[in-house]
Amino acid sequence: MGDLLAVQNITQVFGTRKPTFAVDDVSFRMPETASIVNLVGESGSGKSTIARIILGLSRPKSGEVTYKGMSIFTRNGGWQRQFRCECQAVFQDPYSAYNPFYKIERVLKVSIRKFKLVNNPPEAKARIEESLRAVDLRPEEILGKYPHQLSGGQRQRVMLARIHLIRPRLIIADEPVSMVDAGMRATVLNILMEFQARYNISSLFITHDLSTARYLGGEIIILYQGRIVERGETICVTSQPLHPYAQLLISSIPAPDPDKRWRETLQFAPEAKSSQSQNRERCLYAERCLHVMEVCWKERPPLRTSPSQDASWQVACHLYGGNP
Amino acid sequence: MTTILRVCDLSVGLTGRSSIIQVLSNVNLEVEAGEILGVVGESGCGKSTLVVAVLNLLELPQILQAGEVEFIPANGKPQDLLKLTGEALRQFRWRKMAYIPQGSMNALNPVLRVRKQMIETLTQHGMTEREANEQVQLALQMVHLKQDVLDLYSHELSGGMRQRVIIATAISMHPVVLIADEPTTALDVVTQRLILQELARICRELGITIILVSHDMGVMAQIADRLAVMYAGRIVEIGAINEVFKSSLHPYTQELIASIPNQSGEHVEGLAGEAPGPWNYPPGCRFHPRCPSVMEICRQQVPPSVEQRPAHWVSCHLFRNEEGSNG
Amino acid sequence: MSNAKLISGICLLSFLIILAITGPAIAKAMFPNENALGIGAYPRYEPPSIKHPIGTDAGGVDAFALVLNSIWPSMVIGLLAGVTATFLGVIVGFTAGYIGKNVDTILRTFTDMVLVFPVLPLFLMMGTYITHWDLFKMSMLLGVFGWPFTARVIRAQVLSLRERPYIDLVKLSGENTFEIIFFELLPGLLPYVGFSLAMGTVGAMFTEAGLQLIGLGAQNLSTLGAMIGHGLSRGVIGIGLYGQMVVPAGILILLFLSLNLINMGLEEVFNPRLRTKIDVK
Repeated sequence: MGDLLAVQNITQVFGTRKPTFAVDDVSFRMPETASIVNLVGESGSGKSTIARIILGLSRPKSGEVTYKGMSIFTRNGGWQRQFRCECQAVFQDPYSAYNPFYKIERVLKVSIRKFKLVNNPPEAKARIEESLRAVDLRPEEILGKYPHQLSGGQRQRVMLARIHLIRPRLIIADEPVSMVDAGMRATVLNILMEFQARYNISSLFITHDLSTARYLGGEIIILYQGRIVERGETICVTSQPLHPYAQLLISSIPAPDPDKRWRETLQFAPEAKSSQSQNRERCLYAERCLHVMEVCWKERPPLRTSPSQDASWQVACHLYGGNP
Repeated sequence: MTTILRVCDLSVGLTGRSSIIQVLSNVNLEVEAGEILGVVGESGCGKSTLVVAVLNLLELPQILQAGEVEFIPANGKPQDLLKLTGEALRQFRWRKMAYIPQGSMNALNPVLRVRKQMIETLTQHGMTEREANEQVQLALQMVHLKQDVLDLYSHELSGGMRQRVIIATAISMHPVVLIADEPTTALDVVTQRLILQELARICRELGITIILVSHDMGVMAQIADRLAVMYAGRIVEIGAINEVFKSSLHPYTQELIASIPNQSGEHVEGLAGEAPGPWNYPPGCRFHPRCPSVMEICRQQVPPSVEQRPAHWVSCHLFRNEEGSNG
Repeated sequence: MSNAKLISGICLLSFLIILAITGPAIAKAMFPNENALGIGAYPRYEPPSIKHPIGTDAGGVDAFALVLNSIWPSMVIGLLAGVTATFLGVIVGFTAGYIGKNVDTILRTFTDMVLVFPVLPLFLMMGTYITHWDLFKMSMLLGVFGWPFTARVIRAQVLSLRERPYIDLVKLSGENTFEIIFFELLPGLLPYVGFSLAMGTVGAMFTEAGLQLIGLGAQNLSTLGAMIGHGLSRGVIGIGLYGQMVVPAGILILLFLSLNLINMGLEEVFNPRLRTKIDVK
């Protein structure tokens, strides 16, 4: 069975004098059946860079990204149009995603026009209104307004209305709720989950917020400085993380419950400088790791299947060595 | 517990084309010495405006309409901050009350080394240069930063380190109260934890009272002692952190907590509708259009603040004194 | 469009344009049957009177009639030079900003070279070759040296706009480069283009005035700058004929003011975030 999206060994390097490895040999797949993959990491982990590569907005230094078997950089006008129509994005900042000079519905109209979704203006209007209603917005409150006249929650939902209009197969959502109010977050996440169920849309959900990843379920991939350190089913990895960094990340989520306060006080580790000019043939987390061993400084740990019998659960850590 | 700061009936407006729009209305707040008070609310609820008003930093088009902000030091007489001006105000601001505005970690001067910036801030508020040098070194130790940070430029520091520099600068004059507005919003979750733990430690070890403003309920649950919930320019509930979370009284607080995507991944619903902005505050209780328990009176009258349980106040018509109005 | 700045700017500019066009006719009407512009028409340095509202100049010409005849040449020079400078500047700045990399480096170096080019010696040299200036020649020369400022401003703005998320979004919607340039980036540049036009126009007029002052200007063109220049070199203020400096300078300033008002008004209309009063929805 073919994959919807296959990311193979992509690497991205920025800068020439002091090269920064934003993405370092990352591979993962998303199947044809609608699924959710959470790509989680701190800023600097490479997650946004990966998003841009998958969307075709920048080219990786090495490696391949294929969509339905064909490279996304295939120079074929027709295929590119099809790819664009099936692979869409939701951005983090609901304000700067809109050109401030135009009314907000322009993003919807441009999409209709460019993807030839309908043939005539009355049908276009109907489709726009239908999509706005599908995300719980009232067309009369939204149409004709400029972006600055709407709230962040409304603007983000218009982004989702655009997704509803285009019906892509794959959405790359880059921190879609981080700039949305607390009360609105659940609504936006529920809409994304509904899209998956009802319209068979897969989501690659990029975030630093593990609680939203947990809410969405699916699969999780944890990144650290451009490398995958652990991946598996979200429920499993977030309940019993194996990699020390994953453990740190998950235990640091501020639980909204005064009875579940952080138990230990974290010590300030030596600031993890981007050791880009130094040796990369090692585990990059070694300097902060509480369980660091000799081998961690000498060899880069490969992604191996975890001790649990689950083949989809993998971790890149010398603590779990020996399972090739 | 002694009260160290008392906000009485604070009202702030915005000057519009032809009228004044209400932003904050009759805000009452008491801050206890040595506590961490959280002020939580969605964006636009006025929490940042509240902080700016308390510090007497309002600028047009914001104007102060009414109210007092009393600072009650341990040994000394109460002062109304809103009546201070000029030099007295400046001396007060950094020495007695320090303020970390939202996004301040990005406001460090990129062409000055950290040392120069920190010292400049202190000398501008009355310290001598020698004193400032000493205090700066002590302050950095307090936030677990190495002394060589002083010789770096701000862009050479990570986000977490910049925020710690800001906090160090703020505490180096040993203020009595520290107000931090969204101090961890742009930071990743591990750094956020480190910064919040630092703030909690500063409060315990140095006895500095902290007012923490944020939209993140998780952050509040982790380090706040008491929590004030704001909605549309009013404080709707205030009480001990456990009570506000576990036995919340106001429908807004209940809904807000219920809508947080939680650990177990069960389905939650977001709040219906959206919070109103100052230009369209509804009459009566400002939450009434979205309230599941709305009654007729809610549409007409602003609910008074009632001490429903000891030290747990709520502003909702569901809770009234037996005698009737004014709690 | 109820924007106060825009409307007052347009009114002022229209008034000045009408004045420029009808100037010569008004002058003729003031002095029927006389050639008020002829050398020696009247005694030199006559003080202001009803017949000569700001007196006569060194050549015995009525200064007011001269002013009325000088507005149009000044405006033409200013406008042509301004448009040329802005046009060249936008092209260079946009190309450098949008394409980036090597093209940007080359264009930036070129821009800097033109910026530091010694214009005065050039004009000195030109002065020996060109004896008869016309408006067009003068405008072109001024325009050709006025574009670096615009180029820098436009380049900086393009660099900033290019990275905005909404540009990424329209790329994902399938907009091609042409559409992105004209429909997404250009609206964001309009205020800067307008500003450059205002600056370029007035800059050219003032530069021309400056050249006149040091004797390098076009001797055969009568412009407001020429009047100011001659007035300064002949010290008309010293003999009490203030009007002969103040009036032409004042008109230049009004021209600048009108262009700036239009520019500021346009910016407020186009960029909703700049509106200062709170719009109650």
